[in-house]
Amino acid sequence: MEISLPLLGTLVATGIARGMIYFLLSCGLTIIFGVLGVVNFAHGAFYMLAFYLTFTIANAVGFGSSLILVPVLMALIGAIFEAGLFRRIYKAGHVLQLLLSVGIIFIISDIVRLVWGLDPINGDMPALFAGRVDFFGIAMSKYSLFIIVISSLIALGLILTIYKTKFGSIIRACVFDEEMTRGLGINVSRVFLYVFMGGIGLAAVAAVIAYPTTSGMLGMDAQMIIIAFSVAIIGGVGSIGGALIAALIIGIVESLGILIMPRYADSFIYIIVVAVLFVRPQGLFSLE
Amino acid sequence: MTAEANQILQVREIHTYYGLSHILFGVSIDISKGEVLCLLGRNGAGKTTTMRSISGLTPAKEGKILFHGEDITHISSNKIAKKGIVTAFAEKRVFGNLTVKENLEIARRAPAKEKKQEGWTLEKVYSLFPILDKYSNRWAKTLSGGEQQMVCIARALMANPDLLLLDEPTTGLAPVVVNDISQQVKLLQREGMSILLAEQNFLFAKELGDRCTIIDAGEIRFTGTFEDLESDESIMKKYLTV
Repeated sequence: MEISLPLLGTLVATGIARGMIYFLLSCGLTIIFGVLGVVNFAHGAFYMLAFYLTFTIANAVGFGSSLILVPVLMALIGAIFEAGLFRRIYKAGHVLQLLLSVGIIFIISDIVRLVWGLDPINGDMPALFAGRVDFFGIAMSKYSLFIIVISSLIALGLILTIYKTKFGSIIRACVFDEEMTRGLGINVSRVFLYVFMGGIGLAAVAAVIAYPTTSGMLGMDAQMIIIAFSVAIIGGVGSIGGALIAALIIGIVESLGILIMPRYADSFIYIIVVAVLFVRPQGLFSLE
Repeated sequence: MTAEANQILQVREIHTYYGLSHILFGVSIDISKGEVLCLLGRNGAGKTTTMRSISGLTPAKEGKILFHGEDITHISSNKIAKKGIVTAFAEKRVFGNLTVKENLEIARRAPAKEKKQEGWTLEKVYSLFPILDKYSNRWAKTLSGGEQQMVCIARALMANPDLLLLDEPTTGLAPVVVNDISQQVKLLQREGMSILLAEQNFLFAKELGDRCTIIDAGEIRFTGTFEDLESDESIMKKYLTV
């Protein structure tokens, strides 16, 4: 098969767009782990719930509104889960955290099945984003361009929040020494609540943005959590810059893999994960 | 009655445990407003545990801790800090992944309203520790031990405490730096700050403290002036390695 340069460009652009969705998703996972110390295996389930909510809300009030409504709604749902469940197991060790988050996966899956049924749902592309644009000689879908722009803005906002605001300093202080942060009079429990809400909100943004490009079904959460963990492994847990680069690598490899060896496209990601675990188990961009 | 009113902190017969191990056995301490009380004792005597009990990080199981007359024994540590008790810990616990300035900024809290004074600001803290001004944009982990200790004290001040808990500020520092910190604590003392200073360094403590109290194996063995202490050689020999 002949691979032309413009085709390659288009596939890379699509891959970057996919990668940015993975970045937003795994950013939420990695921030929650970094600050709260909880490995939230239910992160993919929250993504799935957000995807189904988008289906309902976008059909009711339009895709544009769902871009705001779904993340806000999911952050509130996240608050309920944090205050009601996760808060109790921060100091309980990883086994209990695993049990709790797997339990939540079952609960969310059942809710999705009860409310939306077993049939897959399909996202509609908003008319505004239908079609292609020519971006410096590369033909890419308008929607890919939209994804890249909006998720870059969110990533920038996130990095500025963490490194340039007082709240960001407090978050980093919690990562470094939670007890000392408490000792300075900072309400760490509330910081944890906000971080959890933010993390789930990011998963929701990823779901809304992904909605027009793919279909949703029960079990999609498993695929997404594996990708989120792959990003964390390749990029280094807790590193936002690492997560960005790892997510882009995965998105581009996925996109190119479909062209080169469609049958084995999915396996390329895991080959990279295994290779990273062999060469640099702490992650490519970990500071350790 | 007037003596009571003048007391900022009253620790009454507290018992504190780490898990199942009983560390403090009925410790009592009183600190008056504007006083520097030195808590002396060997390694493992219970100095840090006393401080952790007061600051709520390891709450006492029995006994009472009163701050401005209010029972704070079972209040969470962040609320105790907000009420005005802030600790600078021994292990120089700066946030290494934050700049010096960020370390100071996150602790900033306006002083209680009833107080007329303006309280601590970055500028005021920098004038007490000029070196921190110079390094304000450096990562705290790149500073020397003495400088990190200064960050810890400066950060505690930014929270505008009524009572400062200083846990062994001189541990592991060179004599020149110990001298610097001693001067800085003296300035705080002159400003009227109430301080509980845990120390093993007797000479450093004597220079700063108004009174001292000796803890050993989780019990208070002596409380009084430094003159009283020095005149009683048996206590000095038994509980301090001077």
